[in-house]
Amino acid sequence: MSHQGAPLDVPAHLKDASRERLLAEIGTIQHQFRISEIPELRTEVARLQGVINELERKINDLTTQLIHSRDYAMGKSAELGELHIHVAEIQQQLKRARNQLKRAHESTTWKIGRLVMTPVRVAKRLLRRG
Amino acid sequence: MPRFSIVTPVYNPPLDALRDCIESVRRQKFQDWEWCIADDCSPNPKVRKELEKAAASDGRIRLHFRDTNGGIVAASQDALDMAVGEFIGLLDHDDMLHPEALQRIDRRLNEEGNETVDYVYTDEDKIDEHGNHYDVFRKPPFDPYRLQGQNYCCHFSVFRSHLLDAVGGFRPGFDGSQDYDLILRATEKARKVLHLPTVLYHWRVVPGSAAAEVSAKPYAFISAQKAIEEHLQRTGVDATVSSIRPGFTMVRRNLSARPKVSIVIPTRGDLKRVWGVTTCIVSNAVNSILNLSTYDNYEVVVMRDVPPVDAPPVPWAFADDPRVRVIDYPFPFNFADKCNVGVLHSAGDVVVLLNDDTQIISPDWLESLVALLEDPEVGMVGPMLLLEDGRIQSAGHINDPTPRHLGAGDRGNAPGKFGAYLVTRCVSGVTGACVAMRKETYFGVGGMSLDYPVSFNDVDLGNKVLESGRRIVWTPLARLYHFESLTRDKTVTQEEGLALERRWKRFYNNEVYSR
Repeated sequence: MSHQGAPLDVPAHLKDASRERLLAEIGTIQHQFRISEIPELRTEVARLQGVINELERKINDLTTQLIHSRDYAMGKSAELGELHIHVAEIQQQLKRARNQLKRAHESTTWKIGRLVMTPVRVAKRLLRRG
Repeated sequence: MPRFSIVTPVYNPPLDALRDCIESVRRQKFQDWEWCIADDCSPNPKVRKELEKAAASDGRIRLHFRDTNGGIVAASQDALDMAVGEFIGLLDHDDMLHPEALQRIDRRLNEEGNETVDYVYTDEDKIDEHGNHYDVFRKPPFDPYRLQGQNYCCHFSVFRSHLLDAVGGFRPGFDGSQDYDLILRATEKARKVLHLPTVLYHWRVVPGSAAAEVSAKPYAFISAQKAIEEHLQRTGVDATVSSIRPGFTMVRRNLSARPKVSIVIPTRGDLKRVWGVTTCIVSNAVNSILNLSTYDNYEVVVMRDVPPVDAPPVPWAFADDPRVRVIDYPFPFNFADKCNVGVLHSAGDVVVLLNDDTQIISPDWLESLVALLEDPEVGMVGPMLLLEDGRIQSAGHINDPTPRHLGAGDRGNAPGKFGAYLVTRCVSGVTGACVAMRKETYFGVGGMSLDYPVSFNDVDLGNKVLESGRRIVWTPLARLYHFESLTRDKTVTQEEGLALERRWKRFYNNEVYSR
């Protein structure tokens, strides 16, 4: 080191020591990255920035697709829920209608009516047979 | 052990009212009950005679006569100490039960499997001196937010006796609000709270009673405030409690953190007349945010349509503020998509969707909205929105029969039905003109659906939030003007109406929060 042997408690000497150390470090860095490479590095940085931008755009697109997919899934699930309710309502209606029909078939009016109409039904059947 | 113990403290009631009360219990269709009555040294000797007569005629009526007058808390606790039933119902000495009250509660408990329901409350109404019923209070399902603002559960309250043992019964020092304090403590520990949406309790209005005039017992409101403060402490909520009017308390939650909030404002940059002056409404909205908001960690994301090349330039006039970002939306009009893109470009953990035709009134509007979102059960929060003339534009959504604004056209300072506009509470939805959500929730439910480019996108979003198991909360603490429909006409396309019906018809005519 350049300050070997110099009294370090003198401020001027300290300044020189720091300056020399810095110059040595700059020299090392210059050795590692030649000045001529800076434009190439700039181009590389720009290229990488472009890649980052593209990836960010893709992430945004994918996030948008994910949001839409979630909405689609929730929407379809909700529609399915509605359909279940609708089916249950129709089944209830069907059950009620069947019960009504059963009650009608069991009623005396129906039984008498059916008895009274028996000759007509038989005649119709015979006519159909020719 | 009887199924129900009814607990009643008695102190000098009007004799007619007491007789009606006794009769209403004796007429119960459900028979497996006992009635524990503690008389708090009523000065009128006829009260004692009336009670003894009732007890003599029905062995299920058990009496305790206190030696000294100890006040309502002591008398209530004495009555409670006598009770041995599985469930305990609270009945005031001058009120009446519906003849099927116990029967319906028992039936509902059986339907629910009976094992985990620890507290049941029902709807109630009032009876005047002539026996006329009025003021039917159709209550919402259990709403812890509303309960902090008012004792809406009140009558008829039925608790599992083990729960009351666990919470320690009535507490001295809460006179007049001892039942409110008990409900607050019970609901903190209850495994399941059930609301029976039927009027099973008739609250008698006699001069000087709390039913007649909520300010009749001012000491009760001091007790109520104390009960809420202690409830908030126990549940770990840091909040400031203040009494806003007799019977109503305002709970202002303090933020434990100040997450970044992104206020997303979709706009075309229209000029409209606001306060009699032609104004660029989005500039008005943004400037009101920048000038008034006290929250210190937010950004404003303005999503603007790209105007056609031949259109006149939009007269933007935003303050030169780093918190404001303008993002161009170059696609055909779709409000829902514009919101989604805005949220996607936002940096905050909390997003506030805000219409461009709004203006801030409360400086702490963001604090009020964000504080409620600290509860993970809350998915969406909305404020009180007022029209330019000060009337209410929206105090939440109501599905009656189809989704619409609650309170639209009412006075801005109106209390609403049973104080609905005075307290923070759960609602069926809030308008998209101003809604706060955690970004995670917004994305989790799929944001705004593109099936609703103009209308109902907020209703759909809210229903998705409800379906995901979260609450929607409305608060009067945040107030904004919403110069409704200044930016577009109110036309609702048939397709959007049908799309909403396809998804959510089950919510129509099925309002539970604002019945």
